[in-house]
Order: sequence, then structure tokens, then C-alpha cells
Amino acid sequence: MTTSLFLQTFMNGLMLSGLYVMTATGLSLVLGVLHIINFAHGAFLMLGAYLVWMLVGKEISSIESIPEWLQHIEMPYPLAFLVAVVAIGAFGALVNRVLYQRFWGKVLPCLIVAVGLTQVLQQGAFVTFGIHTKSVPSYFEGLITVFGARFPLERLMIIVVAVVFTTGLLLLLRYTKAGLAMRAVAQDSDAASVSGVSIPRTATTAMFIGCAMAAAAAGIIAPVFTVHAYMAEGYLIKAFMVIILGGMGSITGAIWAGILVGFFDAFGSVFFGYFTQIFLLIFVIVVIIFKPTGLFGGVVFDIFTRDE
Amino acid sequence: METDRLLETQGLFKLFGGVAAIDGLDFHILRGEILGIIGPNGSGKTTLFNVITGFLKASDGDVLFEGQRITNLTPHRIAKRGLIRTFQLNLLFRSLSVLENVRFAYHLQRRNGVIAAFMNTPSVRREERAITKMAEQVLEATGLADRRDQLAGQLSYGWQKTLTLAIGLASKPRLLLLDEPLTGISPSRVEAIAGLVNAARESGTTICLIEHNVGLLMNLCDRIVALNFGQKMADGNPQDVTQDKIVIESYIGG
Amino acid sequence: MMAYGGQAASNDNWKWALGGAIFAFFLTLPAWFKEIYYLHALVNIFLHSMVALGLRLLWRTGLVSFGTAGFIAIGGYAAGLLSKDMGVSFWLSLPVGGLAAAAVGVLIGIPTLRLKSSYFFLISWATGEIIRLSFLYLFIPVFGGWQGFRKIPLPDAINIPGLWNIDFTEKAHWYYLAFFLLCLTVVIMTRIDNSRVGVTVGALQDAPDLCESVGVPTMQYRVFAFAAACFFAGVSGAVYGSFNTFLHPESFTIIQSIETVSFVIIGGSLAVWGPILGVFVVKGIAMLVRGLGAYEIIVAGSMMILVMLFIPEGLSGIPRRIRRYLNRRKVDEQMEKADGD
Repeated sequence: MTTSLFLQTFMNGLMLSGLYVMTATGLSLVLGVLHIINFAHGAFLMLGAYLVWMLVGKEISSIESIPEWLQHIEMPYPLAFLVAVVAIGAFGALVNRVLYQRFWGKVLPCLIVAVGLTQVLQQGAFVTFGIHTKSVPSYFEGLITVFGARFPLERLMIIVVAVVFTTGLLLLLRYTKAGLAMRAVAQDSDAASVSGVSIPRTATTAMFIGCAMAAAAAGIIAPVFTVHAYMAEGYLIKAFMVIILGGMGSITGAIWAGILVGFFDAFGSVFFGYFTQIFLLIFVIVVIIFKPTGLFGGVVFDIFTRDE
Repeated sequence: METDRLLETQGLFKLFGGVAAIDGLDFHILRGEILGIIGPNGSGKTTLFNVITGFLKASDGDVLFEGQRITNLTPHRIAKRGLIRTFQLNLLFRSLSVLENVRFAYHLQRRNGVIAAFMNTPSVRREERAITKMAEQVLEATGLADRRDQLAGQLSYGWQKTLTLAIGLASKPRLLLLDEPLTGISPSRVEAIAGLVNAARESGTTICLIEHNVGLLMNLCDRIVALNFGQKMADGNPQDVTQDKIVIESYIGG
Repeated sequence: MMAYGGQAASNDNWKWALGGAIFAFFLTLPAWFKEIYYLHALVNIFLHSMVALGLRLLWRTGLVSFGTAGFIAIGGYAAGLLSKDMGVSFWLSLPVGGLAAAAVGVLIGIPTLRLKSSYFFLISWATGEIIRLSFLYLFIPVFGGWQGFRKIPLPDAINIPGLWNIDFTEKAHWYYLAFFLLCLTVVIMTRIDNSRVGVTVGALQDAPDLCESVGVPTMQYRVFAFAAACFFAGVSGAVYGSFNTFLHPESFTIIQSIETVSFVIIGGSLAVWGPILGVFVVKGIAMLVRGLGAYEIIVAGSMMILVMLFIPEGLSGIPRRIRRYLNRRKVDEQMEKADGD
């Protein structure tokens, strides 16, 4: 493998890692605090991407299903990015309040509702926006040379955004009251509520942050990759694989596993092509069977093994 | 001497994360006795039951039943050997009637296989009728006969507790582990259940029960084991154990 | 309600009458209703109902599988392979397709059903995906890959001289095949429900730990239920393959798996006819709302949400709700009267 190919692949690995870490930590946070699997996580990501596309607005041809006033919005990309992050976060918080909160503690109904929601959002997007993929014009143009390998700047920005948001999440969990509340509820929700923590509020906050992370990932993906109604599926599957490997509910586990899967994908696709995906799936199944608590220990809580 | 010990744990450990819920516990249950297990909240009582009966995996150590290792066997295999337990939270088949709940306990005693059951052969029907008779006897003995067709989910708390005991008794165990059978019920009910426990012992079942309310065990148990922090604090007759300073302190401190 | 001897209470007679009427309706349908489009749709509905009934059994042991589409594919490809490339009669490759799916189900089930049910949904999903990807990328000369698996032969004709020649060139023939298989499935499932096996299965959903503690080998029941669900999925896949003469991995994605789960959820899992109702409702509404396709899954999705929110036991639970409501009214009236004295 030539050096330049190696470096290219390495940078791709970093980029994918960044993406996977962002989506997986958001999902993991929701899993840890709400104790549910937010199957709709991918759909939120997809909505975030579409929202950024709409807000940037440069390439909308007239689509009847989008209201007139929205079509005329043209924001600079960074602003669109931030708006999307907050908006999708808020939408996630709303979904929690309306749909998930009433099933507190019951995994299966939440899952069913989440699955239903995903289908509605995904197919709704498909029907609304049509079959053609959308693209957001690149904001960060140009190439950057790293140790002799050329790498698009906007892909590098993915890594930057991922690092910023993930660090932000870790800081938030560690040093803020909200973070403390979330950690408490994740570990022992009864003890937390007895100590005065408001579970609905904490859960809503967690959903807000989790979905915001997904939207951030979406926002930074949008200019680089295509936006379409089914984009969510691929990222959702990856996110699940990452949190399984990292240990369900563990944020740090999700980070390590995200990096692992990112590099595996990058290098794997060079050597194995599309078989990489099958290998990865099988690897995940093996891990579930033999080490259900994940590869990276450090599990915050675990509702998924017999031992509580 | 050894075969008097119906159940025995040897150096039993159960760790959650870094915390030892059971910390090197050696205790035993003698054949034919009624043993009480006491201890403050979080002392590991229910965890102990869970590990013994296979619902949780032991981190280390062994559990022996009738001299044979049963450590980490699946719960239904342990049940097959005659070790039956009840659950703290009134675990019942809420959508089935009281009678059906008790009839369910005869699962291990059913001789007909799944295929025969599927086809509802005459042999199956005969067996089910016989089981219904036996179940009705249990209902009589436990006072649930009037409620036989009520859904288990509709019973009052006290009757639900009685039903869980009835299910345990119906499975004709050699050793019956009861998790808080006397908690949260009226004094007359306590008497009734205590009577059933004694009657069970008379007919050859060894019983071990976890109880929170120490006073209730004074007359019921032959021996009491006190736990705290997953370890044995005291072991002896009810009088001595309940007056043991360490035991009293563990309750106040916890 | 337990009927070991089988005496239905007298007021259940109307249920038998209703069931009989519905059965007669569908049995005679092709004779007086010739719309090809709807007959085709009904074939699909019957096949989906088979799969849904298998899933219902699994659901009643407390598990959800999101990989069903993969097992339908196994049945389809296996049966198609046997019929097309090895000249085996459809009537043999049909059950073999089902068994192949069941075998894979057992293989996956044994190591994974040990884990809590929440993990199982993920594994079933991954399994479904792996199966689909395998048919897409592996053994392309055999399975056709992106081109799909083509030219699956029709079933061998059933020829009763002078009476029928069922050569499967007419929609009605397929209708009856699917209808017959569905009825068979319904009979099997009803038998299970009304037997000791059914009680155990229902109890597993209710309180698996209690089952385990009285000696029920929950693991074995779950593996069996999963294998059964896979079997029915496989059989329906085999029919599907021959019906369309063509199979493509794109028809077996997670969306299809989710849809089959939605049938059980929306229709309700308590009664055997619940999932069948679910299929009719979802497919029926989708047909009304601008034809099938994308809208179908939107309908399924939103119904899943609504049902979970408002009628968690499924649409088939509505009669029970009505009855309970009426009963409560009656009791209230009686109490009022009593107070009056």
C-alpha cells in the first residue's frame, strides 16, 4: 500500500470515526438516560440534513410540498448548521415529551413507536422531497495537504466538528448540573428521582442533546455526501453497531468503538470492498454473543444482560 | 453429617461492577429446617436467592444442592432438582386465573410431551383433570378456593402473596426459597402464611425465607442467618441472633 | 376460557357463525369476484398473514424479530433453487424452503436467545441484513445478485381429470393455494393456543422468570417459536417466489421486516385473527390512499404509533374493550338501582 494511499485512507478513517462517534454518542446518551433504543435516531439525522439543505436554500427548485416562505430562505451555511442543530434537538425533545415519556421503563412499546416514527419520517421525506438526492453546496472549499496526501478541507471539517461536539458532550456530562442529572438517571433512575432529579426534564434534555448531535453530524455530512430520504438507514445501522461494540449506554465506549469502526470501514473498503459490511455485521453478532457488555467495559449501566 | 446440608454455598461471590453484593459467603440450609435470612436493605439477600437459583451468574464460588454443584445452572434445571423459589415482587401470571396460576406449577410433573399436548390426546386431558384436582386442593389449603376464577392481576396484595406461596408449594419442592412472604400483609394473613409454611415443613419440605420484619421470624424459624454487605454477620437460633449487637447495629446504620 | 375438552360457552356460537361466514366468503370469492388486481393483492395478503401469524407466536413468547424478511428470502431462494436448477417439484421444495429458513433460525437462535429480548431484536435485524446482503453479493452466478433470481418455475399442475386442472396460470389458482396455506396455519395456531402449549407460551410473555422458576425451559420454547416463525416465513417466501417467478434482494429489506411486525402490533396478538386483521387494515388503507408503494409504510408506521398510544393490545382488542365498557355500564346501573332501595 503506497504511503499516499495509506494517508488518504487514514484520513478517511478519521473522518468516518468522527461521524460514527457523533451519531453513536448521541444514541448512547439517549439509551443511557431514557433506557430506550431510539430507533428514530437516524431519521432525525436525515431531517437535520434536509433542514440544512432547505435553509441554505441555494438549490431548491420549486417543490410544492415545501411552503413558499421556506423556499425563499437562504442562510449562510454556518448559520443553517446551527439552526438545524437546535431545531432538530428541539424536535427530539418534543418527541420525547409526546411519545416516549409515557412508556418510561418499557423498552418494547418505545421501540415500536420509534420504528413507526422512523417509517413516517423517512417515507414522508421521500414523498415530500422526491427521489432525487439533494446536495448542499460546499462551504469549505479546497484541498489541504497532510504529509503529502491531499484531503478535501470539508472532510477535515467533519473531524473538527466531531471533536468539538464530542468534547463538548463530555464536558457537559462531567461539569454541569444537567450532566450530573443525566448520569444519575442513567445509573439509577429511582435513586435519582428520590434525590429530587426531575426525570422527565432530564430525559427531555438528553433527547435534545442526542438529537442535536445527530443533526450536527447531518449538518456536516450534507455538503460532503448526498442527502436523501434513506440516508438515515446506513448511519443508524453503524450507530447501533458502534454502541453494541462500545457497550450499551457507555459514552466513552461509543467513542472508542466509533473510532474502531471508522478505521475498519476505511481500510476495509480498500481491501475487501463491500464485503467489509458483512464482516462487520458478523463481528458485531459475535461480540453480542460472547461479550454482550461490549468490548470496552466501562459500562454506565446495562439493561441488556441478565445481570443488572 | 454432610448430607444434612440440603443447600450450601462455598465462598460465593457476586460482583456488580466493582461492588460485591455477595462477598465470600459460606452458609448452609439443613434438611427439614425453617431458616430465616435477615439483613438491612442492600445486604444481598435477594441477590443471594438469585444466584442460588441461577437467575444471576455467580462471580466466584459454588452452590451445592444435595451435595451436587448447581452453580450457574439455568433456573429451570435447578427447579427440576426440586429447588423452587418465589419472587419479592409478587410475580404472577396476571392474565391467568388463580386456578391456572397454580395449575402451571405442575409443569415438571406433567408426563405428556409437547406433541401430545398440541394434539390434546385423551392422556393429556386425563392428566390435566388430575392436575386440576391437585391444584384445587392447594387452593383449599391456602384459602384461595373462593377466588379460583379471578384473574391473578385483580387480587389484593395480600392474596397475591398467598398465591405466590401456593404456586411454590404446588410444585412440590424439596427446598422452597421464599422472598419476603410476610411483608406488607395483615397480621391475620401473616398467621395464615406462617401456618402454611409450618405445614409444608411437616410434609417434608425444607424452607428458607428472607424477611425484613425480624419479629415475625422469631416463632417461625429454627435458625436465623443475618447478612450485611454480602457477608454473614451472625448465624444461630433466633433469640441469640436478634440480640446480637452487630446485627442490631447493621439495621440502624443501614 | 381454557378449553381442554372443547366445550364453547353457548354465547360463543355467534363467533362460530361469523367465522364460518367469513371463511365461506373468502372460499367462494374467486367464483364471483374476478378483478385480477384484487385477487393478486389478496394472494399477497394471505401470504403476509402467514408470516404475521408466525411472528405472533414468537411475540407470545416475549420476543420480536426484525429479520423476518431475510427468512422469507431464504425460503424463496431455496425453493426457487430446488425447483429451477434441480428440477425438484414445487410441492417438495415448498416445505424444504420452510425448513431451510427454520434451520437457519435455529442456528442463529440457539446462541442468541440466551440474551435478553432487547438484544435479540438487534441480532434479528442484523441477521436479516446479512441474509439479504448474502443473496445480493454472494454466489452471484447462482442467486443472480443485482439482476435478481429469475425464471422460477410454476408449481406442478394438480390434475384431477374431468374436474380441475390447476396449472397456476390463473390468479384464482394462486388465490386458493395461498388461502389453503393460510387456513392451515390458522388451524395450527389455534390448536396451539387452545392446548397446554398455548398456555405456556402466553405465560412466557407474561412472566418468563416465573416460568423458569417452576421448571419451564424458556430457552427451548423461544428457540422453537423462532424456528416456527422462520418456517412460516420460509414457506410464504417459497410461494412468493413461484408466484412472481422472480426474486430480488431489494424486496427483503428491514422495511419489509418492520412491516410484518406492524401487522402483529396493529392487529393485536391476543387472538389468532388479530394479525390477519392487521394485514388487511394496513394493506387496505394503503390501497385506498393512492395505491401501494411508499404510502404503505407510512400508513403502517403511523398506525403503529397510534395503536401503541391508544390501543396497545391492537385493533383486535376493540371488541373486548367494548364489552368491558358495556359490562361496566351494566354494573353501574345495577348499583344505582341497589342504592335506590
